Amino acid sequence: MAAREKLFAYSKIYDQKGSETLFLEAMRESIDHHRTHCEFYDKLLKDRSFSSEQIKSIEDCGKIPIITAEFFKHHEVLSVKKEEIKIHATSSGTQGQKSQIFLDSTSIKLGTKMAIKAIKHHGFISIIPTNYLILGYEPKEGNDMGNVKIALGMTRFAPVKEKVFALRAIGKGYEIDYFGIIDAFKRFNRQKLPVRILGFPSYLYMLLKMMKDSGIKPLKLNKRSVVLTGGGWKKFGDMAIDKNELYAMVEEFLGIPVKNCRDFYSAVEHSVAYPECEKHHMHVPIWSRVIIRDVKTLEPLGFNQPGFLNFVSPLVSSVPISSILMGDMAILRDGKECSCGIETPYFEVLGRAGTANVRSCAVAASEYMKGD
Amino acid sequence: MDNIYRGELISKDNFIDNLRELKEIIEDDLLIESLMPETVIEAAHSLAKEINKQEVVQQLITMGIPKWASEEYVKVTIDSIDRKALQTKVHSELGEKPFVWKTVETGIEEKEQPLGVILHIGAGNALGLSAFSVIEGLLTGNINILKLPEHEGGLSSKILMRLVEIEPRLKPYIYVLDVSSKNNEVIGKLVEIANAVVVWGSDEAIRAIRKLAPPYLPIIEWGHRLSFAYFTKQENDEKDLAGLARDICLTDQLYCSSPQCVFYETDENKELDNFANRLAKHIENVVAEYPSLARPTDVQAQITWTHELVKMEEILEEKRLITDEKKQYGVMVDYNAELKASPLFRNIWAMPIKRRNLLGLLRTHKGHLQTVGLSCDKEELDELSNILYAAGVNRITSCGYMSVNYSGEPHDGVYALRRYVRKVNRRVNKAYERK
Repeated sequence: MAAREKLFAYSKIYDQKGSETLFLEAMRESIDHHRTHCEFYDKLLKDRSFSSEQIKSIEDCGKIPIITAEFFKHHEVLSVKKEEIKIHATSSGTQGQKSQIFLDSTSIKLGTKMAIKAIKHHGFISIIPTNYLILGYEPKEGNDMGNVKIALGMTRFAPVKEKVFALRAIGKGYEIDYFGIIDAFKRFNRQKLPVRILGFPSYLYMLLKMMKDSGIKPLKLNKRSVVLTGGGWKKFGDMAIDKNELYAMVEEFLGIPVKNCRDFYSAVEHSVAYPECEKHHMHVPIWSRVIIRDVKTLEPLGFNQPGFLNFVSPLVSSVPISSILMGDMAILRDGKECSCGIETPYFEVLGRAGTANVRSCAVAASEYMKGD
Repeated sequence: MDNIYRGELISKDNFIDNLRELKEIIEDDLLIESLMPETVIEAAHSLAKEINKQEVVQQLITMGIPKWASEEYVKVTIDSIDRKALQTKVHSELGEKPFVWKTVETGIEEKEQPLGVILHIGAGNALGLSAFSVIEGLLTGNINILKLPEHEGGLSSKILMRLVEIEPRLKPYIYVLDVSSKNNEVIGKLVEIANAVVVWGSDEAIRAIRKLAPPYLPIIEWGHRLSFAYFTKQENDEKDLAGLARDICLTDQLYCSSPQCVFYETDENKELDNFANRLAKHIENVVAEYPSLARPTDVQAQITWTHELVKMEEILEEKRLITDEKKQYGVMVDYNAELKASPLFRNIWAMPIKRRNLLGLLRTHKGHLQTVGLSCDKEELDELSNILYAAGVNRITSCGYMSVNYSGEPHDGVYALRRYVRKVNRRVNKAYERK
């Protein structure tokens, strides 16, 4: 799949115009690959009378039959042989079934390349020894948290002096180790080395709130310190605060500049990660396109209208996720409105779709899913 | 300012400030002369007569409910609180002369006694339902504290204030507080004062109260239900399909009695497909007469999300989606039977079933069963009824009547008023014998 390789080797990762031909070629390649190797995908395309020749322009990408992310939660649908799957990654959702993806080695290789290029572009590769706070569970026998793996993977971008985990095994369960964290911060502060805080925004918020409530003297960590959050608020949705408020708290209590606080959108079923620019916008890079779809007709909407979030990408060859419909509501904005220098469109996630609080005494689908 | 404290309007903050005094006030009020059902019935009847139907219908229309549904709803609600209806209710649920001593045998007598204080955790679903819950509490002589549901627009408060204005003797028996269901501190204090808690709402709402309430406190739950329809193979089921289509469309499936699934007795997918196609035709007929409203974004998103999964699984031949161009309804065929929720708003699951598997399938959800719209031959009625009742179903109706109630009908298998009173008894010295 030559076009895909070339696309992921392309150096200007936000130059959608310059790489457009490559992208379209890679999409055609990807669709052909999936329909040749995946019976389900071939049936779907036949049913919709769609073939890759129909993709001649970026707008044509809207014609690619979409598959709801929910489908992949319940069905193992592969475009490669089972032996070729090197990673089966899952994500704990807030309810019911786990999201999942099966990755072959090429997808992993390209995905890694993509991540490195993105981090490099945003200036987060460093050779200075760095102290880390990982906002997740301390790895232990039997706990295999995907997000912690990812965070640990990101420690390659700045050499590790020390790493501390926010949640530690205390007794039978895991708890936020506030005292351990504050101690670590004080240690990091004395060393004056940059600090990187990686992981869920909810734990970050809980930590900062604890610092605020206990009246601890705010720290002034190295100005090159970075906060990289991802994964959303999950089961802590009730306590979620506005991003900008959270970043302001980071700057107030830890001294890390707001522009070094970046959230990432990433979804296990899609696999492209979207870091925020310094204006905190998630621009779409060259390896995917974002389409917002009307909640009733599923027709593509343009900028500034809310709808289902739909990603189109040739990254993954092991599962036919060429055009995947996410369960998130989002809005697409014109990138030229962002003053960071990147001109590709950016999207804002509004929340989960379909969590309607229907006023009814009939049992609702959302309360029906056991195993909350 | 639509909180109510002992029958007087008050702000939410002032109510909470007065929680300490509430304990003593109630202790005094528990000893005043009993409130008899007749007093409540007369007040409710006057209220029913003076309600401006047009105004309430308008209010419902602005909340997005179609005109014909709003008019129907208002009519049924008003009819249910008029004198005749409430007298029938009290009579069938509590017997002839409740709250009056009746001799059981020489020297022994019994009567009904209110529980004392009932805390009602209000339901957000049907408008004004919380006020009706309080009326049931009043009919049984209880002091009532209502924690309002969210998004009700103050309707229950208005109704109860009007009731108090019509009949000031009701003042000591009515409290309304608009506090968040997450405010465990305040709700905990109210639970301490209550003799029982009546909870309307989802499993989550009920779970929250069970956590807060001490183990010895009665909790009366009116929770969410999952109702469905059941069809056997018959010569002609067209009339029942037409009835089921009305059950689905006229309520938008929002009632606990509305069908979210329909089971068809067959193990042939082709026969199920034929059945589902015929049901879809009938739904289209009803939709033509009562067009589907535009749904709020989050509701529509949920419907589309469900449909998209069905469409993908259709490729795998596990399910099939039947809908129209305008997506006004959905018959979602699932070749694997399971009692489950649909996204409502005219979307129903259609599944095949063998009668011998029915009981087992239903028992998995025994706490959520209520109504079944049954379509079968006369000879099959008893056998099927037995299975359904054994599984936990309380109401069986013909199709088209799933959400129609009769005067004096029990609610989820019980008489509500009976649960809001207790039977007290007294054995006295022969010397005090009642002559």
